[in-house]
Formats: sequence, structure tokens, C-alpha cells
Amino acid sequence: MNSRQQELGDLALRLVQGKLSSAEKQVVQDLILHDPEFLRVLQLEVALAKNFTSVKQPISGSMKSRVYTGVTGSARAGLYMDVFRTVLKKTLPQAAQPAFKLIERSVFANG
Amino acid sequence: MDFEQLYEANVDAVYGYLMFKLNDEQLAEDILQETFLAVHQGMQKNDEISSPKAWLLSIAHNKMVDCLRKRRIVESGLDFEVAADLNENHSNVFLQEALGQLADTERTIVYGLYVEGLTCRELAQILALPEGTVKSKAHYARKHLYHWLQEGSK
Repeated sequence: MNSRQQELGDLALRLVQGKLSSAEKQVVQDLILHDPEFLRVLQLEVALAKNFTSVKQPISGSMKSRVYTGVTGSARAGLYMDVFRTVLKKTLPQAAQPAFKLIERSVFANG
Repeated sequence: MDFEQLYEANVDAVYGYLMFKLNDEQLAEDILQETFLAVHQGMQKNDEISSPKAWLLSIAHNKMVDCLRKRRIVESGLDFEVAADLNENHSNVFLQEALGQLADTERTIVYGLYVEGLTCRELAQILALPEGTVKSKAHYARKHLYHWLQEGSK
């Protein structure tokens, strides 16, 4: 690909992606009307984009909701754990604190 | 944008990217969950992200690389030929063959350009590469694919 082909290829790709600026749209309109080389490159870009549509594997609805629940559920569990820990620390008698620390290490460390 | 909106708008792109790279549903789901969990935990800091999709894909990419390192699979060692065989029910086999002739980074770049409509700048962010490197790899890969298309039409 020489530099002119690269330039035409970049414009054609951005056209396919729908990312042209308004100034570029004018240039592209002109190229489509008057430049057969651009039309050739544009055809290739359109064909590539069409071929690539089959590559993407969509997420299933069940996985989508499972992951969402997993993420928000973990965050909620972390919050409950923090609240629970604070409440226990404040309410347990001083004498029970060493035992609480042992439990905290073994239970909360895995939480 | 709150978490639910961010998730709805981008989960498909992140999952598609992970499946393209890994072709392993279970692993893709695990990394997808890790990605969005990290985002959910740091949600307050994410107000000034210009391209949420590119940002999420870069998190997913890093999580994937970490995960593969832990599993002692080097990214370049992924066997794309095997992935292509497994993918053939879902994908264009001939395109997979053409992609199989590209290096892993080049495949990722053309996937980003044509499937997710990303720019070279966004891809540079995701892959942690200079934008110029992404542009030249993109040109090389597209030239290869142009050639493949032209050969196929003869």
C-alpha cells in the first residue's frame, strides 16, 4: 500500500465505521464521484467489514445476567461484611475482642 | 453513566473481544466478571473517561494477560489455528484462515477496527502500544486482508 492508498484506505475505513468529520464527508463525496481508485478501496473496506460481522460471538442472555448479578452481589456482600464487622467491633465486650480477631482472620479473610 | 448503563452498553463488546482472543467461554466469563467487578469497585473515579468501550477493553485486556501469565500461557503462544477450527460454526472460516496468517497483535487490531469500530488511538490505549505502531500494524494487516479479498474474488 503506498501513501495515497493508505490515505484512501483510512478515509474508506472511517466512512465504514461512520466516523468521518463533516469536512471529510465532503472529500469522500468528491472521491466517490471522481476517483475510481477510492471506489475500489471502499469496496474492499465494505467487504472486510461485512466479513468481520461473523467473527463476533455475542454474549448469551443468561451469562449476561449471571455476570451482572455476580458483580453487584459481590459488591453488596463486601458492604454487608464491612457493616457487620464494624457493628461486632463496637458491640462485643472487650474480653471477647481477641476471639473476634481470630474469627475475623479465618472467616473474613476468605470473604 | 451509572454502572448498569455502562454494563448494558459494553458487556457485549468486552465479551466478544475476550472470546475472539481466548475462544474459551468459561475463561471469558471469569475475566468478564473480574473486569466489571474492578469497574464497579472504582466507579466513583471513572467520571472523565472519554471512550468507555476502549477503557473497558483495556481493563479486560490487562486482566486477560495477567490471567494467562498466571496460567503460564504466553499470549503469543495462543494457538489461533485451533481457535479458528473451534470457531468455525460461528465464523467465516475463510476469514479465520486469513487472520491466522497475521500476528496476534495485528489480528487484535483488525478485530478492533472492523468489529468494534475503534480508532488506532483507542487500540493503542488497549494494547499499551504507541499509536504509530498500531497504525503501521493496521496498514500491514489491512494490506494483507485486501490481498486476501482480491485473491478470493479471482
